Amino acid sequence: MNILEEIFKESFTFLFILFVFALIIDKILLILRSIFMFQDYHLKWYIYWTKKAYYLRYKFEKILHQFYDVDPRMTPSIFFYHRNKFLQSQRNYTGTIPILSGDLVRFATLKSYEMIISIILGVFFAYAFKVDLLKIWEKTVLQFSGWNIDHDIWLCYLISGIILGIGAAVLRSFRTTIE
Amino acid sequence: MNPSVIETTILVRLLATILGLAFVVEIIHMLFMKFVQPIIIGVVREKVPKISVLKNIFYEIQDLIHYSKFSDEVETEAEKFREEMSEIINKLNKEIDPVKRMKIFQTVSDIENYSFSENYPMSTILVQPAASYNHYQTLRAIVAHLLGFSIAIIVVHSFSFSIINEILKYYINSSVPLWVDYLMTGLIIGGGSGSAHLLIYYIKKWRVPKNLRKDIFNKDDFLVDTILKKTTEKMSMIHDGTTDKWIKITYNGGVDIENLEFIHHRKKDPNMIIYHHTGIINCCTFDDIVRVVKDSRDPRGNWMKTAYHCVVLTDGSIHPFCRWDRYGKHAAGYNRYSLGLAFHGNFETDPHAPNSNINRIFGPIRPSDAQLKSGAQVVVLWTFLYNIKVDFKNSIIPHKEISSKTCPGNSFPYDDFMKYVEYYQRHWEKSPEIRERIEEFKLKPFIYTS
Repeated sequence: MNILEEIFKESFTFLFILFVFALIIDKILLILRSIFMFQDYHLKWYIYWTKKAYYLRYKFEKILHQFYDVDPRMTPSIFFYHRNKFLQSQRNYTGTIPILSGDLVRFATLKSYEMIISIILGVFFAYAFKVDLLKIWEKTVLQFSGWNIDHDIWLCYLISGIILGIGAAVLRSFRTTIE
Repeated sequence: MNPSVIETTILVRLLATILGLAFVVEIIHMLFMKFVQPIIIGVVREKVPKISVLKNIFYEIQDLIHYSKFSDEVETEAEKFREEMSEIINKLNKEIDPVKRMKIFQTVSDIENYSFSENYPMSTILVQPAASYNHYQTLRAIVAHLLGFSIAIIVVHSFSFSIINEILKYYINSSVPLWVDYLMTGLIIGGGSGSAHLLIYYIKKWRVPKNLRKDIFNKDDFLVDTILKKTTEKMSMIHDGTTDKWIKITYNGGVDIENLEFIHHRKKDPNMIIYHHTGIINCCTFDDIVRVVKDSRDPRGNWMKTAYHCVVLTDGSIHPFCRWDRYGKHAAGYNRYSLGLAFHGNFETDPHAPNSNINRIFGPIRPSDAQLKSGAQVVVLWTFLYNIKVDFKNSIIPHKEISSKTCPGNSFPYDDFMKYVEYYQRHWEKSPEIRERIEEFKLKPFIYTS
């Protein structure tokens, strides 16, 4: 069989399995998120997120203290890294003063937890259903590496699980972009 | 051939089945949601507030009344301090010993701390509190997800479609229990139905050309838009002035009207106007000024609710801030019977003064002409509204006259500002058209104490 055709089939299988398990993980995370939101409303967790935002402000101001002599107009650029994460740029705010949003702190924390949970689920599914994504490439791409996959099957499941978890995150970001 | 590789035809068939079933699930899901949605609304709607909610409202009002009393106490105290301060300043002028003079000076500045300081921290990061989620939306999300998932499992079961076993059969030649497979396939189809929902939504949205759609579906909205547009044009003709002589101001109570409902009451209408500079970096917007003020605390640790009654930005735009029928915290001891006008920027260039703009780090050291004119117009409007006499020694004064501060700065063009005020005062007094507009303005809410 033509090697290119073989690689195409392998890629297609790889992507298909990734897509299927990413969909499962994504749906589980969606259900978990909706339960979290429901609890957040009932247990008034927004107070916790506001407190967390104040704590972060304290931490940032400590960092800013080191830049005390810098031109104050430069302050937003010091926070450039955190701008999309925590600093408010929504709700028609036209100002220039950095505003740490409690909502964005909650969102960023949730996002990181979602990533961790999706990787854990990925590893779990990879182990439970014996999904070894590396095995697909065994005969073509990995044959030159001299790596015997069967000897490190745990490592293969772990890598496959991480790929599935990250794949779910990619699928989620793709879906939210379309939305 | 690699045994782990699945034939492309099988994968395409599986994909097509997933997509088809996702559409089926989505349509059933949409149908069910139509019935479920009114039930959710019924659950969420609380017709009679619970006792705990009423209690909370009662405590909030109690707090507000307490705060109002407390503000009055602080203000009375500040008035006493003002009298004490004049005595101390007299003493200071007579004292020769530098050590004693320093001590007396410290006492003066301690008293002055009771007013809202213009020395803003430059690196302040403000915090916007997290909002609570909406009860209806959270409940709806849970119900929608679980309903979609359940429908998908039923559909998968009735079609006997098990995707995991199908994959594993070709992939590693193994299988999982059928119920696990239905559960997983249900999740896949349920997850995929979200994408199907999006697709259906876009097809629905774009099937009619945009311009036609507006006429057909949003006929009422279109009419409302047209009426609003016409009304706004008409209003702007009246209030923004057909000539450039009338003030360009939109006063509807300023910022946070409700928050000042129970607090900062005046006993009588103001009889004095005090003008300031904001002391904030010039590139900040009005939003910034409001946020900086609200993020500040007075020396007793209470959050500042409001400060100036009007802020004039460099481009001459006028932004009402505090309600005019309430007092703002801008000049200690004088708040209850004065109005505060702030020119945005920092016009202090004395290197010995705190928060000085010597390096022009806060922007220009002089207010723009447009800013001065707008400020003068606000002052003249207030003089007409509250019958305040145009007297630059007693009733229209800079903040520095009544405090140890330098506000609004040594580079502020006091003479020019006074000339503008006198010009508008003369002009408006003679113009019957503008007098009529002032009379109209007097009818607006949130202007007078009673």
